[in-house]
Order: sequence, then C-alpha cells, then structure tokens
Amino acid sequence: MKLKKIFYFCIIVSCFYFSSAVFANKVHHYTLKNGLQLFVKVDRRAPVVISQVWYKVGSSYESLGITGISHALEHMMFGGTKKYSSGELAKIIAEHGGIHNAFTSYDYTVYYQELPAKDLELSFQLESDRMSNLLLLEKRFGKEKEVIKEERRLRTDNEPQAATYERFLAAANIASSYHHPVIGWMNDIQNLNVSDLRKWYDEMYAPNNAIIVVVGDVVPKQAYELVKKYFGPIKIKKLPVLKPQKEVPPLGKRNVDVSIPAKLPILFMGYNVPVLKTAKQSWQPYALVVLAAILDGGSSARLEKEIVRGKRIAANVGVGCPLYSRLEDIFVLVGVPNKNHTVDELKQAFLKEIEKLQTTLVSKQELAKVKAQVIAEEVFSKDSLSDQAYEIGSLESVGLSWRDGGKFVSRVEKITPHQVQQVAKKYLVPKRLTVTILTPEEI
Amino acid sequence: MKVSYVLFALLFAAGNIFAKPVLPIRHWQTHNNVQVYFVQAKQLPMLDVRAVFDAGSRYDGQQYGLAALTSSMLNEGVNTLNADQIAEKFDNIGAQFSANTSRDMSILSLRCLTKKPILNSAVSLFNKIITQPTFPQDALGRLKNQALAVIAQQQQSPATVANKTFFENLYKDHPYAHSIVGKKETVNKITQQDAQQFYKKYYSAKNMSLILVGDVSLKKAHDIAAKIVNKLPGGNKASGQALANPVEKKLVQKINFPGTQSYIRVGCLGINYQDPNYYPLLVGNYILGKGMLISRLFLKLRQQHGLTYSAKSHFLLLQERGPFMISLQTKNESATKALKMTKQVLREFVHFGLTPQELASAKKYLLGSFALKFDSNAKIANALIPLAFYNLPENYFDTYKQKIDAVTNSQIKSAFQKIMGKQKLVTVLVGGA
Repeated sequence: MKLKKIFYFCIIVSCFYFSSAVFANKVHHYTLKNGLQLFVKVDRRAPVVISQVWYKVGSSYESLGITGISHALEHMMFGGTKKYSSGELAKIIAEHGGIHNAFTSYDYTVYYQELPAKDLELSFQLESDRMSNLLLLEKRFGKEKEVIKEERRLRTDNEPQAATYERFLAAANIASSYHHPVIGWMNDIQNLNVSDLRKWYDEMYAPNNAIIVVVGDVVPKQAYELVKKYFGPIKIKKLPVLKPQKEVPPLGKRNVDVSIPAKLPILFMGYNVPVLKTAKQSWQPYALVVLAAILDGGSSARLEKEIVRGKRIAANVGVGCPLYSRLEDIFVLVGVPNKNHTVDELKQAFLKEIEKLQTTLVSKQELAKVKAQVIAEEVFSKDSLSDQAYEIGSLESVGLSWRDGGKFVSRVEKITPHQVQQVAKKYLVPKRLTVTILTPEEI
Repeated sequence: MKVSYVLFALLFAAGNIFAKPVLPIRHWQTHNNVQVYFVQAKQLPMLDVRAVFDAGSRYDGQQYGLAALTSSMLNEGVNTLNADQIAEKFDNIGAQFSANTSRDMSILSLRCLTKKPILNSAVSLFNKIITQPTFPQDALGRLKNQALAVIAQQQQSPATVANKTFFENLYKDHPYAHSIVGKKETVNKITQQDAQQFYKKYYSAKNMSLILVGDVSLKKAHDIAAKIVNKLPGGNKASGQALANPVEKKLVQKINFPGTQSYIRVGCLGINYQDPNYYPLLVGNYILGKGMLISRLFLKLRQQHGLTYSAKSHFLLLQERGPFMISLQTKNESATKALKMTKQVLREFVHFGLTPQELASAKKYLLGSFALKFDSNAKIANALIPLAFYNLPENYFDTYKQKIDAVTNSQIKSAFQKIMGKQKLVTVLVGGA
C-alpha cells in the first residue's frame, strides 16, 4: 500500500499489487540447457529495454557471522573481470545512454541495465562475463568494504527510524533468516574477506541459479538467441544445499525498546504471517492483503480516517503486507503519534482497529473499494518497464510463477468478508505480535 | 513510442520539418487563459494530470510553511464534501490524488483510469478541489501537526539538516533560504485566513499550467481541460521574486550532530533554465558529479579512496537561480580529508574542464539516454512540467540533442569558471567532531 513519504525506507518486503495478464501481455519463457531461465515481455511504448539478471541469493540465504555477504558481493560485481576492468563496464553502458545498477534484497540479488532497445546485446555481454569471470581482488575489496560501511552508516546507523526498524525485524523474526539486515551487521561486514566472497560467488552465481528478465521493445526469439549465445557456454553448477533457517512458532508477544538520539517517537507492530509460498491455504495471504487495504489502502481507509483524521492520535500511519516473500514474513503496522499523544495511545488505537476486524465483518462497500483500487493499480503498474520486470523476477526467483502476478486481481476479488475476519482472528493475535518503540533521546 | 505523425506537421514548423518530434505535444489555452500541454499515450487506459501553480514556498513571506500548508489543505474540504468524502470518492474509483509544494511551484496530481464514469468522476472532483476548497479549521490544526512532525523528522536526519543548513547559508535573506515545510514557530501561527488569502492570490487561471498525458483523444483532452479549470477565476500572474545573489564571502558552517558520519555540502549559486550556459553546464556536471559510477567525484572519493558511498554534484534549476551543490557523507574521522579532496576535485575540474574522452562520453550518455526519459506516462508528464512552468521553447525536446552535441570543452570551462570564479563557496559539515 502507498506508504506516506514520512517513512522513507521500504517497509513492504515484497510488492503485491502488480500484475500482467489482464491486457494480455504474454511472457515468453525459455530455459537453457545449463538451467538458466529467460523471461521476455514485449512492451513497445518506447525504443527502450530493461534487462535484469536475478540471482537466487540474498540476505535470507546467509547465516550469522556472514550477514551482508550477498550485498558485499553485489558491490564487488562492479569490480571488473578479465575482459572488462572495473569502470570500463560502467563506461560502456553509460556511453550507450544506459542506466546500470543493482540491488540486493532478502531473497535475491539483481543486476540490471536500462538501455536503448538496439543495445540489448550489450547487457548480455557484460552479465554473462561477470557471471563466471569476476575478479575478486583483495585491494579492491579493502576499499569497497569501507564504502559498504559508509553505506550502513548513511542508511541505518544515523537514521533513527531505520535503526529502529532494523531492531524491530531482528525481534519479529526469531529463527528465520529475515532476522538480519540485508546490508549486514557492522561487525560482520568488517570481518568479511575476499575468500569468503569468492566462495559465495563460486557457489551461488551459477546459470542454474539465475533468471534473466527482459521487458521492453524486444523480439523474444531474438533475445533468446542472444542469451543462448552468451550464457549458453557457462557450465551448470551443483548448488550447495543451504540450511533452511525456518521460523519457529511464536510463543508470545515480544517488546523491544529503542532509545537513541531522535526527535520523534515511532511505533512498529508486526505479526508473523504466512505468505503465498508457505501458506497451507493459499487464499489466506490474499485475505491479509485485503485486510491491509481495508486498513490503509488509501486516504479513505480505516487508519487514515479513524486514527489520523478522526481521533488525531497519529501524524502518520502505514501498513505493509508481504505476499510474495520466499519465507514466512511480517505483517507490519507503523505510526508516528501526534504531539500531545503517546505511543501507547497509538498502539491501543491500532489494537482497537484490529479487534474491530476480528469481531465485525467488513462491509461490501469496503471490499468493492479495495477491488476498484487493485484493478486501477494493475493498469498503473504497467506504466513502468521496471515495475513489470520486477514483478516477473521477484515471483520466479522465489519459486512462484510469473502467472501469479496475473492472477492477483482475481484472487483478491474472491476474498469474502468472512475470510478477512478469519485471518484477523488467526494471525493478528498477541502471540504473533512484536512491538518496537523508539523513545527519543536528546539530540 | 507510437508517435502520431499527423500531429507533428501542425506543431513543429521552421527548422524541424523532416525531424520526428520527440514528443507529440499539443498546446492550447483554455477560455480563461490556462496553458494546456497534452501528449496522447494510447498504450494504457489511464490518464495523468498535473495542475502546476506558481504557488511555491518562495511566496511564504515570513510565514514559512504557508505555501505547503495551503496546497495540502485543498483536498480537506470542498463546498459539498468533507475530507472523508473526498478521499472516499477517489478511492472508490481507484484514482490517486496528491499535492506537492516546492520552492517555485505547487503541483496537484491526479492519476485515474480512462473508463468513462471513472474519468468523469475524477475530473469533476479534481476541479472542485482546485476551485472550491473550504479550508476547514479543524483540518488546518491537524495538518499543522503533521507539518510539525515532518519538521521534527527533518531535525533527526543529519542528511536533511545538512541540506537545510546549506540552503539557509547560501540564500540568506532570499525566499529560497527557508525550509519548504517551514519552522515550528511560523507554522504554529498560520491561520485559516492566511491559507485562504494565499490560495486566492496564487491559485488562479493566469497562474496555472495544466498537463495531460494519457489515453484520450485530442477532443476529449480539450474537454477535460475545460472541465478542470471550470470556474477558476482569472486572477493575476504572480510576479516571481528577485534573483538570488552570488556568494561573496566564503562560508564554513559546522554543526555538531550525534552519530558516526559527517554530512558534507559544498556549493554556490547556480542557474535557471534560461541561462545561456545551461547546456555546457549540463554536460560538464555529468562528468564532475552526476554520471553514475563514472563521475570524477565518484571515482576519486568512492572508487579510489573508499571514503563515501555516494558523492554527487547537482544543479537544481530554480527560477531565481537554484543552487549548485556537491553532497557526500563519510565517517567522522575522514571528514577533513574528504572535504579537502572534494575541493581539489572541483578546483581541477573548473581549471581544466573535461578531457576529450570525457566530453565524448558525456555526450554519448546524454544523447543515448534521451529516449529513456519518455518511456512512461508518468515520466512524460513530469518532463512537461519545466516546459510548462519555465516557459521553455516548445521545441526544447527536439533541439536538445543538437544543443548537447554542440557543446565544447572551452564552453564548459568558461561556464564553470563564470560560476565559480565570481563566487566563494558555502561549506556545511554536520556530524561528530
């Protein structure tokens, strides 16, 4: 759901309101002999193409002691290969007018270029080369490690809301590997060395552990031929069997306090919930999505109406509902109390709204509103090549199907008021709850 | 992009008859003098609207935060509907409304499907918000509290404190100096009447441009535009402010802030869109500090020395001349070193300009990436904002490439030397000792 600008960091672990099938934009799927998968979607609105390589590795694949290694490796993937020195890669893409970047998340690491359509081949040249020929140099890593530490300081250590959110996730996720931050704990970053990265790279960066997504002004068959040409020769690897790090059932409510220099308090409340991948009953995660929309789908939704405008307890509120995560995840409510109101009042207000959902069925009008919003959002999301590519990649790289994206609207439309009540009663309960409160210390 | 070839012959006359326009822009005036810019985009059944008003925070006077508060109040009540009802109406049709204020402008945005009942409903409500806001007293109180929360949040973010301090020191008494959201003391004092007066003065037809991008015919676009501005009084065109003054005295501002990083801002007065050096500065700055992974600042500060995650330089183009600002952040222990290095990079750049390879690279990027600016309705709508607001020539997009191509290194040097040579630098450091 649209979270207000006051919360600058992304609370939603997985986006859930993108789709593709209604306007029949077919996704072409190819698989190479070495296991590499290619997904191509045609969108000819501009002579532009987005090409992404998704590696099925992220922070949720990491165990304690090496947190942040996937992100560190992402940094080092710009360090050069035998063929393209570091900087040369960036220069080539830039000289073609392209954008060139990457990001690491919990469940995947993604390298992408946005290029004039005629230069798609360039993306494959570069990505195929660094998929197997990356130079991991000690000296370079020495510098890059410092850069990563600076990034941690910038994004988390010196931003009180982000620092609080990090502690919130560490408490809400008990045994699950969503417990630790993508960038890693500072001490773990400090103790990474090049041979650790080399091992991670050798093990996890394989064609059979990767997916390529291409969206834009492209001819699918041509893209396939190019991918075969550049990635075909790369050998399949035997992937390591990583320990599962499964979440344990919560045994009770968790409370975490954060006291650091800040000006504003903030409240996070999180409930351990199933996602599409883990739910025994596949309608339940969608019912949670609908529930989230009823609470915070727009300015007329319950939290804005009751808590922000009505009782004025909050200056700002937000809800995040995971749907496409790889593992069980957290349903999040966040809020900043208004002056003259306390965090505790805000917490009580949130709990009251949850209780309402448990005791009273949501109205047909509210459900109709959610449906209208979801249908509109589906169209809007197609106004972005990268959103469309992101949907395909984020689904396929966690073991879901790109088709799940197209089914989103119809699955949401099927949710009944009783089902919303059921998931509220089953999952939004004290036993599954983690509360984290930032109490400001003087700056 | 599927360009409608029928249109370009009407639009682009002398000089460009054989060139395909980058964007098929249709431009007209409504009966009450609102300039409308329309680009048809048939790919998706949706419409994006930007109502751009010359109503930015530069007109706050001493009431810092007034412009921002006024724009945020517009959808809090209209003649027949309260905030809850307005929100409900938009949400029921999946339409998205937002208001945003910057230093020069206030922009009201709408995104909706083009299905007839939805479109009609959204446009009608959008018109009401523009023409009949009621500024309910209780909503004002609530929005003031939200503004105070934003102010507090800015105070706890060292990066934001650095930006704020930079603007204050660069602009001093000029209306660009203060924070757009205002200060606690000034926001608290804003009254319903203040907001109403601000609205009356600046939200008028002569002070407005309208941008439409989406899947509607030209005729329908005319119709929509007329509906959006229906009953909006003519008013007067706002007169802008005086140009900001160049920095005469070197200024270094250090602010102690808890934390492990120092946030560095270095800069001086920059330019507006009308500046004759606009293109040389654009090309030059790409190499100095904008080009991702390849700029001088990135290569020296991050790549070579590992001192920072990001180091950038930027010309913000505001009407009364926006800032030129370099920004980076580094652990406290490296602050002095990083600042010294940054100034050295800047000095060398201003003195020598670009190497021939850098100039070629910069042009290749700026020319090659041009199409990427228009690959979505949202991007097109946003690209039209400066065209509409700053009265850029209509062939701005069509002449862009040739103007970039024509830039020489001597022009770049001369442009940067003109800016840096006649000014001193403002330096801000926020962080630990």
